[in-house]
Amino acid sequence: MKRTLMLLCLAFLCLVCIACDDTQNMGLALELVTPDNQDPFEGVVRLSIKIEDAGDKERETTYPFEPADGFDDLSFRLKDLDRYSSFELEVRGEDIEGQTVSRGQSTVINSSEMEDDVFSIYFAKVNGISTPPLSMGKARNNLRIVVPGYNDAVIIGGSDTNIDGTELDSIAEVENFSVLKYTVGNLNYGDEDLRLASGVVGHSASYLDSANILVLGGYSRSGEEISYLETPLVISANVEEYLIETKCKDFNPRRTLHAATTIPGFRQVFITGGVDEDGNILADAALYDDDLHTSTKVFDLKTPRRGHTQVSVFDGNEEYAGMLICGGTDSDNKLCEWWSVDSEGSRVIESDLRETLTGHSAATISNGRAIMVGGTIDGVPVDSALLFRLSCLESGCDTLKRIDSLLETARSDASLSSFGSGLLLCGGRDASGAVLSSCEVLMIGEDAKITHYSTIEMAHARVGHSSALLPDGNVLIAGGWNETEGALDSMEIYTPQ
Amino acid sequence: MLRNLYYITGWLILISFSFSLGLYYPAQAFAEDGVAAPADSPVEETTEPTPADSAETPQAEADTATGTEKKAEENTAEPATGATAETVKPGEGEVLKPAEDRKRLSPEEAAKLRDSLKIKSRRKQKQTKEKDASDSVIKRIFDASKDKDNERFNIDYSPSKPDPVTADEETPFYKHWIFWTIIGVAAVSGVVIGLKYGLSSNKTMSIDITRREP
Repeated sequence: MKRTLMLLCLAFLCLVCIACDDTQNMGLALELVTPDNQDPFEGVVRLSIKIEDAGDKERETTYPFEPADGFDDLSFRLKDLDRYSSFELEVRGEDIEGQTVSRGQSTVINSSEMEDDVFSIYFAKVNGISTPPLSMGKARNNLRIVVPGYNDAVIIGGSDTNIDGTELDSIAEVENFSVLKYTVGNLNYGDEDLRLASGVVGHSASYLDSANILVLGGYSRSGEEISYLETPLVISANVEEYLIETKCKDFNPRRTLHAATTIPGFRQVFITGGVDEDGNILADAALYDDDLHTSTKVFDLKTPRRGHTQVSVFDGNEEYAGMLICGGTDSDNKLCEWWSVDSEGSRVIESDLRETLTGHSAATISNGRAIMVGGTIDGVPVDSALLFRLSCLESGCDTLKRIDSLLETARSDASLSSFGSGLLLCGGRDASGAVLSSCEVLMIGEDAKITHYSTIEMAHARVGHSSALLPDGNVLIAGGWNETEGALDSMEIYTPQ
Repeated sequence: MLRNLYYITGWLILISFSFSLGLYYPAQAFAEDGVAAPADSPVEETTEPTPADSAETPQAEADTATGTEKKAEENTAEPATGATAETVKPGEGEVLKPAEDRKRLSPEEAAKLRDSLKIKSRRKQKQTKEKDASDSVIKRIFDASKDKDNERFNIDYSPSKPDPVTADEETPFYKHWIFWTIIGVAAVSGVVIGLKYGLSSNKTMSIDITRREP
């Protein structure tokens, strides 16, 4: 009898423990990060919190939250939430008419990985540029930003610059902007911070499908000494070998003002043009193969180019179609070249436009289109844009179509990022050479319908900065230089509608 | 929601646990009654002694018989002792086994057992008393001597017949404590596992939302 009771009690206790352990509530913590220079809760009468299953977009739950005494002490709990293995969470602040005035969105959150941990959402006014409570560890001009994966943006290279524009030492530290946590720190592998062997500026940084980042070209400045980067470097996701020197075949990587663009789905980077250490403008095109860790020359462009743009173009089925290379040449009849996957070399795109374009910005847009905005034509900043249409390449319509007076301010050397159905053009220089603090939002319609939507002011005028679309849907603008502050370590974030 | 789940789980576990115990106790009492009741003793089904059985040494036989008598004297109360002596068929290895078990009991345990038997075996005592009254002293002496003779010659010392096996064979499986233990554990496990996996889709997740201090 005693044995029976003992056994039953033990079994009972064990099973109750197991059951209790498994039915524990999964707890996650969300931190709303708000800007330093605006109150995102101004005019908000209701918060709508939507959680959406990352694997099944139709599965979503919305929780309304109506604060009685404002949002100063925002702290509340959502209970009885169905278990989502991975989800995206969006917070919308609505005004009395139900219009969204503030917004924040998470990246993809894995519940089990983030249990008992904190993830962040940047909550700010929509269609506005705000200053997050973050800054880079170093002020950087001519930096590069790469967005690998869903949670990070990596900031590579750049240089410190005086107020008078004198370039100072280049920067070797690589910084990481965590979109998951909304923090900035040195990129590290375990306890070790990643640092390039030397600083680099005037380089390119390309993200590959293999989670590697190719850093190619550029030079290192230390005082008056300048040395060009001898071998392209790969920043690898592999913890054991996170900095790899790569090889070159019939290709001299010692250059700057070149263009390097990842070919989607091929684990390759297409590299063109630039200026070598002797000041020669280059015409060669090379392919970096991430499997072989080798850059190989493939052909020559039809004309030497530097400071040009190069974007991947996708067809109507969103499949990679080819590469558009525009501007940066002194030849007025070779404005743009097209290189498709199946051709051995590039070809000049026929156009009536006879001009030399430089200092412009380019972006890929949907339905086989790409756009080049601003820049200087024959040395004068313009407020126009050039629209490339893949469908016209063979059909005879205007493959390159100019859209005049698109911008509110003629500008060059601006940054351009696409987000959803819009484009954000920020900073640069105006016709007088002054550094601009304004950003212009362009809306993308069907075919050639590209319109100006709004102009927004940044907290800082910027040129030589960089911008990138973050995984949470916001656009990050970082670094650069202006006449009053010199090189900038600040960051700003644009929150789309 | 989560609290309700805990309550439901807890109650179901307690109910199933109580259910298994509730089934066990009556079955155990019933089994004990069956063993102690004279009318229920399977005396007629004893096996005949084999020549090998009766070829054991006289000393061993004497020891065994003496030990049996001592055990009966030490471990049984007066009415119960009489009942046990009457109901147990002498001369069988099987019936000697309980006597050996009792030999291990301490005096305190024996007293507890007697109390227990008093409570649980009223019917058995009543029947024994009635039978005792009807028997004469001479008959009892004669029966006792006959029993001793039978016991001496019918003891099964064969190692090929382990006593516990024979005893287990005589107890129905549903009267064995192991059976009801397995039933109880299985019931509790079923409830817990069912709740654990059956309701997994309704498990909850909470998200605390705070604002980062500027």
